[in-house]
Amino acid sequence: MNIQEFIFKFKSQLENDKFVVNPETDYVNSEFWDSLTNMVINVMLEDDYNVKLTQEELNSFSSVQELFDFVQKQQK
Amino acid sequence: MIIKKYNIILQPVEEEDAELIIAFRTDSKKSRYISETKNDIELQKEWIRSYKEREKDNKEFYFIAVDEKGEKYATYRLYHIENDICEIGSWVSKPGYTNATNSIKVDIIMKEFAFELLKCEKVKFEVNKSNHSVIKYHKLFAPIIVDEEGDIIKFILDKNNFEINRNRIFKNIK
Repeated sequence: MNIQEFIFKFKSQLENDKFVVNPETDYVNSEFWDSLTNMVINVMLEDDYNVKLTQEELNSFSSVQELFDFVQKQQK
Repeated sequence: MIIKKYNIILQPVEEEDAELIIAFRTDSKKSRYISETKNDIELQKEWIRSYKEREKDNKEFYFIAVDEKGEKYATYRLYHIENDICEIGSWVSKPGYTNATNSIKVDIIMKEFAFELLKCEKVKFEVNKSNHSVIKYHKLFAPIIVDEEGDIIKFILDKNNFEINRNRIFKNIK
């Protein structure tokens, strides 16, 4: 798994190609982020990476990179 | 009919809810994706009175959700009940209400109401194409898109897909 693949999957959950997502994206404070998006990304993390987070935990990362690093650690 | 489930209560809307419903539906953020509502309490009360007639005949169910603190925080409506299919809509949360778990519970309870109590095999619903997060959320249940008209996407969700995917959602709202 690399960050670009992760971003591709993350972005594919957003239903809108206009949103820019990169490693530095502070997704929690992005215009696309809301409680339903939190739910959708959480389901993706569980389905694709077997990582289980609460809504609050998913809201605690400051960037996509930070979330990716966490997911990667969980898989080791 | 009052539904008590998952620590929330769904109670039928009454005339006294007219002002609250208008406040929900005319909020600048909420109103972007739902049908236009006139800011007229008497008109809303009149609509509720006509709805109560349909409710008596079990043709339509319009609920207001009440949370564990007694706060009325969302609406949801079920209508167009025909044989094994019905339509759901008017899923609108109180502006500024931040308990996402409770908002999702209302949707799940309404789908359970359609499939388990009314014995529908399918539910249909429409979502504005710009309402991205709601589209994404609904897609977790694997509905099929049956039509796209202008700004609207029309979905049908069958009972089997709902039951298969419901637990994935539940795990994430506990």
